[in-house]
Amino acid sequence: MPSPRRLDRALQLASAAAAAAALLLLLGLAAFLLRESAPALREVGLVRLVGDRGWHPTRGAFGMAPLVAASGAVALGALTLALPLALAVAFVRLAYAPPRLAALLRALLQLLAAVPSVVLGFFGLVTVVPLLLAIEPPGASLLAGMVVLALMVLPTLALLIEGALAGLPSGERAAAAALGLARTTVLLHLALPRARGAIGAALLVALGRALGETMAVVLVTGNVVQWPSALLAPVRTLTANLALELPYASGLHRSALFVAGLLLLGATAALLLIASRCGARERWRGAREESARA
Amino acid sequence: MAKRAVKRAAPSRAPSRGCVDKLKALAEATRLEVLHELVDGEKSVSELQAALGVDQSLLSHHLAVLREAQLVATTRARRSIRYRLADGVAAAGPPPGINLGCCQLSFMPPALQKAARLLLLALSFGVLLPLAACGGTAEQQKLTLAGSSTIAPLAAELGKAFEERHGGLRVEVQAGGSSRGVADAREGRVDLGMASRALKEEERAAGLVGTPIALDGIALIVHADNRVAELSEAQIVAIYRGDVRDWSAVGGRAAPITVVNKAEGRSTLELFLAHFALRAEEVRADVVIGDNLQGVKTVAGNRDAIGYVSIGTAEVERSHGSPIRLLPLRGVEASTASVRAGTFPLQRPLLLVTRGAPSGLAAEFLEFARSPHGRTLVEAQAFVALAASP
Repeated sequence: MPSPRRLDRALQLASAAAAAAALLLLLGLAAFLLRESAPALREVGLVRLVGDRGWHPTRGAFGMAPLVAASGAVALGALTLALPLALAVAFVRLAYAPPRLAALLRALLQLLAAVPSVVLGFFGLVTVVPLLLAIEPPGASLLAGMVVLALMVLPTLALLIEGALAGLPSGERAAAAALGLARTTVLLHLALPRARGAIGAALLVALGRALGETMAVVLVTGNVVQWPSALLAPVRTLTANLALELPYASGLHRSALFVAGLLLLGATAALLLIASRCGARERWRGAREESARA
Repeated sequence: MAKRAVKRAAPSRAPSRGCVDKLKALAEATRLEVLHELVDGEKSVSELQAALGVDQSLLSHHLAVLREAQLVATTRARRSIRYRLADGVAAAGPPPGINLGCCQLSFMPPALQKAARLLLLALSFGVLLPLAACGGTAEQQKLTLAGSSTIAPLAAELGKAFEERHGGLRVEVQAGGSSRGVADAREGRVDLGMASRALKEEERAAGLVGTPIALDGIALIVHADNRVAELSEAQIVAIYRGDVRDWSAVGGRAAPITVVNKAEGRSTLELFLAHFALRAEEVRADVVIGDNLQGVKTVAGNRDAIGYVSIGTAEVERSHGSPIRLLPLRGVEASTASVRAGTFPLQRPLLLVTRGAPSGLAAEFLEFARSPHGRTLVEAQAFVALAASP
């Protein structure tokens, strides 16, 4: 039987090695993206990557701004649709649903979270797109992307928000009960204001997920490179652009696509960083204080 | 027991006698560990014994040696003796260490130490493995292909299957355009050039031979409910340029046309544009799609859409019940049969080019591409396989 000290060391060593490996992988990924995008950054330059009219990389036009705008529009739109739904689901589960219904809701959410994105994309292509098509062709559009992505981020968002709302300190909960406050009052006026930071963090995590989603978006947004100007007009996101063109691109075209990849990595990293600052850290500190008291 | 310390600072010019004595006293695993423990703060003998797991008499001996070298000092608290680092020996961290007067010793956290060792191991593997691989490949045979990016994915698939049949053979495929494929084959830089067009007269005159391994044909597709039976090439151009935007202008019902185009870089787009003499930026698309299947699904879900996809995929999807119709072109039915017969206007051969008649490995590869196994790979890439060789 190894001594506890040895065991400790072995675990320490194993986790340190795993952490180092993860860090190395991430650094390697960033270095790879940088190397691959270097030709485009050098020969085309940031100014043209942003300012060129149109995206026709095989003919020397590298304007990526509409793609960036489309990515932002689809992701933000999806959050706008998903947030009220997620809040409603969290409220129902926390305050109104009998335990069995709450458990069923949770199971459904987890199931929805596990649906592969390509399946959601096909669902969008055969249901959402034809519905929108009946309003205005071509149906494949910004709105279709928002709806499908909203479905995709809903489970994560609902579960995270619920966790944040449930974190109301038991003292306050008891005080609220003693005052005879309605559950709705407790949720809206005690739990919600306290959870604001954590909800913000949840939104940022969901935004990162929405920005990075590819397969579902390619299938339903129409993929025409243009500024997102109308809900029912097609747009092309950065990720869709990568999926459509990377397998067939060469030279500067390929390199410009890697710039898009670098951009996505940077955006996601920034979002996660901000998210961890505004929510997760507080939660961590709370947990540590609690364990210190115990 | 593992080494647990590294020397950090260089010794000063004249190391004192005391310094050497201290280092001597340190040169023992248990004593070094005792010091490491004491860096964290003073400890009693029983605490040290528990931490190190050594016999008490042995520990007493080592502690005596350390006391003599003036590395540790004792304090008597009631009945127990507590050990601490001697005055002036403790060094300010981080990392925690001891100051010997002539040099400093710092202790690495064990996890970090081992991680560093692992990293070193991983790095040396990274360097050694490729070397080992190089040693093994000295006699390996190689077949190189370069050229059309349309053919490259197919050639890579064929290459993989071909490698499995020939142990020790490596097939290298590089994409770079048909003209590069022809030029490379001409100058003998590759075994096989890949060209997704027929060879020109002067290329054939220069002794180049193009052997088709597959055909590529594309069909214009509309929804099965669309009344339009056929479109002239001029009408197709007008629709794709956005000059005609309603089906009523070409004999259909009054409804806006949804133009489905392919993403940049796809060979289908290239062939379509070249055939209709269109430039990529002239096309006014409503939907841009990636692969052929997505094109079929998009048109099948929109009664007023028009798109173009690989003929092979369109036929398969239609037979699986997708409500699409393949439009004839210049009066010729769009089907793999007419592509194979060479009568369909919107098609091209996929050639592998050799200088002179193919021989050796290149000939074997060409033969494999036309074998039943090769033909299934061709069809998996949505190309039309050639008629089975008799």
